[in-house]
Amino acid sequence: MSCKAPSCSYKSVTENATHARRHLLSCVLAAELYPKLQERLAPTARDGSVDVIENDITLPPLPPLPAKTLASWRLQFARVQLESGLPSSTFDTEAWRSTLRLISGSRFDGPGSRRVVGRTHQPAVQSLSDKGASAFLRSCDSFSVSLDGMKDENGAGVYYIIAYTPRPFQVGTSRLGTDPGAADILLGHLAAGLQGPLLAGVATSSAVELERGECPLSLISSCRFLTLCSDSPSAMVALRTCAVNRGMLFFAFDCAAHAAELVASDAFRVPVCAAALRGSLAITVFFKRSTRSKALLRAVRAMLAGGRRGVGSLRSYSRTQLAGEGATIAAVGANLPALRNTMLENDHTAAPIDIPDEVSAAIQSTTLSPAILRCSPFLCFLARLVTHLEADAAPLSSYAGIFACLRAALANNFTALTVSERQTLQGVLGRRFAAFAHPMVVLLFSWTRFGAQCAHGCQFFCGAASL
Amino acid sequence: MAQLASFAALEASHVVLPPEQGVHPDLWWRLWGATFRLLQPVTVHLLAMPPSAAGGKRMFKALKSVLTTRRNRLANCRVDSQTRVVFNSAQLRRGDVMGAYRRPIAEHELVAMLAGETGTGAPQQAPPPVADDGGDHEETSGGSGGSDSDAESTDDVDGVDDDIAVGRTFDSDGVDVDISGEAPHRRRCDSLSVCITRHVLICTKLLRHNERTHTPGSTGPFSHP
Repeated sequence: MSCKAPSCSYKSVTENATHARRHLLSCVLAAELYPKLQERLAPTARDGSVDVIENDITLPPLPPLPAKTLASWRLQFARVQLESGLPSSTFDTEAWRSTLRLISGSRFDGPGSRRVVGRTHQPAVQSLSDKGASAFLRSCDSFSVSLDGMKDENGAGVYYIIAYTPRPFQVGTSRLGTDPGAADILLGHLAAGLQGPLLAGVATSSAVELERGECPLSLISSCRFLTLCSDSPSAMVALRTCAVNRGMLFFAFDCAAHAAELVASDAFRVPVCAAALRGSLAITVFFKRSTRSKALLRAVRAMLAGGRRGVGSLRSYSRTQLAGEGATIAAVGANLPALRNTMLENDHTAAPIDIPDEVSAAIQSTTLSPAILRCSPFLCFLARLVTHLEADAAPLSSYAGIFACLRAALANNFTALTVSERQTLQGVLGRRFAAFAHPMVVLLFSWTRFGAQCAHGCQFFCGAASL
Repeated sequence: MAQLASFAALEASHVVLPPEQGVHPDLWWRLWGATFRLLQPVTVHLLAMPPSAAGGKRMFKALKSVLTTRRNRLANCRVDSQTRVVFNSAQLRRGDVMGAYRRPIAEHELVAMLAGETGTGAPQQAPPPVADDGGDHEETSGGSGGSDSDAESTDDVDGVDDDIAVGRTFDSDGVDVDISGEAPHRRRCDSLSVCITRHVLICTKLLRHNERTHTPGSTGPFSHP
C-alpha cells in the first residue's frame, strides 16, 4: 500500500488503512495530484456529516489554501521544528493535528507525518540552512578551524569540524569507525571535511601557495583558513604539527580555555587548594545527595538568615570542569556556619541522620575555613577568566593577555596565599602557556592597545615570532 | 618592523589613538589602523580568531539534543543533518558578535590589580620549575633545560636571569631607571607595562624553548628555525 504521488516515498508496510489515510491527509504531493482528496478523506461523523464542530465554534469556514501555500506553510513549520531540535514525530499525533486544524480554520494540520518531515522536509530545511551559512561564510575574511571528538549516545565516536569566523559554524562531520584516531587519519578527515559545500570559494589549504614561495603575510590577507585550535590529547597535538608542517594552516595552538582548565587542575595540587577542594567536595556531594540532610540544611539556613537574604545553597559542578570548582568551594565557605548548626540540630533530633565521618570531620575542621578563605578568591577569579576565554568574541590576543597578566598579578595580589604558593601558581601559568600557545599569540597581544602598553617588548615579540 | 615600532610609539603617547575598551581589538584595527598599512590586513584577520575551541563543546550540546537516550536509533546521516541545522541556524540568528564585544569585568579587574600594585613582599622572581605534574594529561609539557645560544632564550627562567633578560632586551640596566623622572600616572602605566612585559617575556621564553624541544621537525611558515 503506497502513495501514488510520483515523488512520495510513503509505503505502508503493515497495510494499515488508518495510517495510509492519515498520510494522504498530510501529503502535499498527493494533494497536488488529487485536488479533491482532502475533501473526500475529511473526518466525518457517524451520520455522514463533516466533523467540523470545533471550527464552527471558533472560526467561520475559510477558503481552502492553494497547494503551493500549504506546502510552504508545512516547510516553514518543519523548519522551525527541526531547528529547535525536536523529533520529526513531535506533531505527528491526532491531538496536534486537531489543535492546529482548530486554530487555522481547518486549513493547516501540521508539517505532516514523521516520514514526510524526515524524508521530504529535512533535506529541504538543511539545504536552506546550508545556503544561509554558506552565504555568511563567504562574507567573512578569515577562519580558524577546530576538530573535536566525542562519543554519542550509542558509544560511536564522532568528530566535528568547526569553522570560527569568530562565530562557530559546523562545516563537517567525520566518523572514524574502525580506523584508529591517528594524526594522519584525522588530518585526512579534516581536509575532507573542509571540502564540504559550505566552504565553496574559501581556500582551505595554503600548501600550494607556500610551496610556490608566496609570502605568508600576503596569504593571511586573503580569504582562507589560517589557524587550527584543538584540545591537547597527543593525537591532536600531532595533528596540529602535521597540519602546520604540510602548509595546510599557518599556525596552530592549544585551546586557551583548555589550558586554563589545566591550570586549575594544577592549582588544586597546591596543598591549600587541595585541602579546600577535598573538604568542599565531601560536604557538597553528601548534602546534595541526601534529601533529609539537604532539607535540614535548608531549614537551618533560613533560620540563620532570620527573614533576611541569606547565603545561597551549595553548588556542584561537573568533576571534569575543575575551573568551576572555585564556585563550589566558595559556596561551602559561605555555608560553613549553617553546616555547623545543621550538625548540632542533627544531634538533637529523635532520628538523627547518619552523616559520614569524613563529612563531619570536614565540617568541624578548623583548617577548612581558613583554607577556603585563602584560596577561593584566586580560584573564583580563574573561573571567571575561563568563562571569558570560552566566549566566541574573545580576541586571540586575550590568550597571552590573560595568562601573562594573571601571572603578573599574582606577584602583589591574592596575598592570602603565601609567597611560595603564588610562585607555584605563577610557574603553573608559565608552563601551561609555554606548552600550549604559539609565538603569534604573543605577537598579537602586542598589537592590541592593551598589549602595546608594553611597547618596549615589541622588538622582542617580533623576534620570538620569527615573522 | 618599522610600523610595529611606530604603533608602539603612538601607544606611548597615550592620547593619539582612541581607547580600545569599547570595541573589539579587531574592530579597532579596522577603524583606526589604516595608518599601519602593512600591519592592518594581518591584524584584522588574526585578531578575529577566538582563543578557544569552545564551539566544538557547544556542538556536542546540539548533538545531545538531537540524539538522546530515548531517541537513539536515528541514522547517522539524519543525526548529522539535524545537528548541523540546529547549530548553524542558531549561529545565523545571533547578532553581531564582535560589535557587541566589551572587555569583560574580570579583565578590567586584572588590569586594576596590575596598575595598583605597589606593595612589597611579593615574589620578585619567577618560580622555580615545578615538579612533574602527575601526567594525567597527554599534552606536551613545558620543560626547562637544554641549551640555547641566543641571548633572549636563556635556558633558565629564574628571577635574576629574568631581570637580566629584561635589561638585555630593552638595552637598559633597569627599566625603573628610565621612568624615575616621569609623572606619577605615567610611572604607574609604565610599571604596568614593565610588569606585563616581564611576564610575557618569561612565557615566551618558555614557549620558544618548549617548541624547540618538542617539535624539532616543525617547518611551518611561523615556526622557529
